[in-house]
Amino acid sequence: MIRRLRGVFSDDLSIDLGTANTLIYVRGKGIVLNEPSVVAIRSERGSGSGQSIAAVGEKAKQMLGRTPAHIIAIRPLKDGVIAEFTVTEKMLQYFIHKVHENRFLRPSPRVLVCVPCGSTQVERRAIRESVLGAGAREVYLIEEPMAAAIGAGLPVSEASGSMVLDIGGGTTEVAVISLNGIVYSESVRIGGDRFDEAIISYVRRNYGTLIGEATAERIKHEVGSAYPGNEVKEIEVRGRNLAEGIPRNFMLNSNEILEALQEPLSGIITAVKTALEQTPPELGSDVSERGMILTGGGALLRDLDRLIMEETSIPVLLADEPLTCVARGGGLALEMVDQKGIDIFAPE
Amino acid sequence: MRSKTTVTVPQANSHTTPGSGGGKGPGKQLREARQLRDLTIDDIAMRLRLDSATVCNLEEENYDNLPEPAFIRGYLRAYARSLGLDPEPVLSSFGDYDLTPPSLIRDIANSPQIRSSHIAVRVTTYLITFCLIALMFSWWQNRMPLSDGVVEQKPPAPQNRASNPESLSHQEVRTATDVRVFPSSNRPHIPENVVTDMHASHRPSNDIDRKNSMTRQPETDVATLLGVENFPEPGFSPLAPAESMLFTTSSLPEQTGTLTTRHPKVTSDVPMTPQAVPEMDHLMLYLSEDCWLEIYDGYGKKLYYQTGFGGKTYEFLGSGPFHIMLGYARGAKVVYNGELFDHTPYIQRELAEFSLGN
Repeated sequence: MIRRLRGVFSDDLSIDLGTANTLIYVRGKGIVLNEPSVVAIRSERGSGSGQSIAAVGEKAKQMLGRTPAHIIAIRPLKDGVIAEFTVTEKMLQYFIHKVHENRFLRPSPRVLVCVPCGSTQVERRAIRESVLGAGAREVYLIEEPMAAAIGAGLPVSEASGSMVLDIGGGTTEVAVISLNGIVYSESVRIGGDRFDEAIISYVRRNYGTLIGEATAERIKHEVGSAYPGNEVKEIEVRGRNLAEGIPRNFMLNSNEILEALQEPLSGIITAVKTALEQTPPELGSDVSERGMILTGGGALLRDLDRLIMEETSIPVLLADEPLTCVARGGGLALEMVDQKGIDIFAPE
Repeated sequence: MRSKTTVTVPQANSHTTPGSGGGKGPGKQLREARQLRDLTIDDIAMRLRLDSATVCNLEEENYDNLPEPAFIRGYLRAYARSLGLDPEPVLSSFGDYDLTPPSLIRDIANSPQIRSSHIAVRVTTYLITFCLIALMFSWWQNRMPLSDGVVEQKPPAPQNRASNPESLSHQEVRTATDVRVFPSSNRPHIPENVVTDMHASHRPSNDIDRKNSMTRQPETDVATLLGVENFPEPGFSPLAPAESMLFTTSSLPEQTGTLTTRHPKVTSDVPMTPQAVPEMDHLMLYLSEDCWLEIYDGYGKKLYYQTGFGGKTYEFLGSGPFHIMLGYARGAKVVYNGELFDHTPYIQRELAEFSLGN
């Protein structure tokens, strides 16, 4: 009863609980929160074994790799699913409270969470329990490709095939959707994190230098490329030389990063090709004619659409605001919760 | 499988041009850029892996022959990038067209919205809050007069008392939580000049009469007020019309009764009932000036704890000894069990504190 009362004063939320970023969408307001899925935990010194949250989100991300011994900055989600249950719960609690600040009552919203289509039943249950523990009144799950397709404005309810490729921080989801249902979907555990790891690995192998995740991410954003172009960009990087043990500066260019990203990119291409192979021919024809839509933060990698287009020979189109497609689509789907006859939600 | 094998001659645009008036549409911008680079429609179609007809429709802004707006925006973006253009101006000019979104999204957009910021929700919230505040205020108001454990008695109509003496055999005795019947005959003698007229005009609240139900409560201290005011200077004139306030306290056995009122003068004629009621002492205070009063009975029960007003008489019935504190002792006269008590020896700087009785 009290939860229902609190629910009246809470906004229903759509949460894109991503490996890299968590986005929260509120109807009528749009994306109200976009913060890194990072939590900094402080271990209490001296007496007791208590731990407390030092920072969440952007502040915690700034601490990554820069923490003293008694603070650890962790990312509680790995490969699109929960790796640290309690920490995820605390992080969600913080985010939900943050979007409801200035409210008299503690919020108890209905929450829709986007989950990878390849997540297991146990992983989905963990997400549900975590969101409930964070104060949600009701929890609905939707598969990320469906949310991405709705957010991108694809005609998911029509009898025509719509293909969506959502490249997130931890996973890449590819799906063919028709008549409000997923006809085929596949999730590969390759995403922005794997791109960063590939860059770190490349730099260590070729330059004998160790760089951190934040540096690798910066390199990816500034000179990362998925297809060789006419323009070659360069970036100056600082890392610890493994032989000398001291920091050194060196230059990296976009062609080197392209080389570094070959392995994860080929994994994505393989997943797309497999999806096209497995798609029923009628739907495949629709996809071939109209093209596939690219969403997610990974879609912002330069010329990724061109790479996929060259590899598959079908049009590849970048969605509007690809980073927020999933959250926006989840928000739109949340409006359909109370409507009969529309079953776009994922079973647990 | 849908087929589009030939490049059709674009038809006239079925959509209105953007409201920007003289601004170029996205198709015109792209066509001019393409022609500047000496590229054909087929070249663009090859780059984008699209049909030539689709590219042609894009340039002619013939959106009826193209898929949903999400795809059109993707085509425009890809087309602009393939020409080395910034896609944002092209897309912003496309945004001026009011194209129909996909059906599911259209349904969502048309579904009714009731959010916490909705006016109906806000008004309901304010109403509920107001009602809660009003209820709390009402409860607090009703609770205040009972805090001292002293309540007043509602006087009956004089003619009723005269016509139905049997109904006057009981007096109303009320506490903060209970209303009891107290046999008036057990009361000690009260000078008639004090209880002659009970047409009290000062009643703190009549709500208590409505609120206090007739319930059982064993061994409850009770107090009665027979309020009359404007008592003249206490000269003990038996004929003087007087109004007084009478308070009684007693630990009574459990009794049940009906809510009645009485005239003290009449009740003195009612025969004594055999119920066991302890001996009670009688205390009267005549005030010529306003005076703070604190009266406790022999059990330490607080009988009165507020300002007494000048010109009024206050009577108390209860088990002695009474412990009395007078804030302005020179403005009060004390009568205990019908005898005037001289309390002047106890006065210290206008204040007197003493005990009466055994």
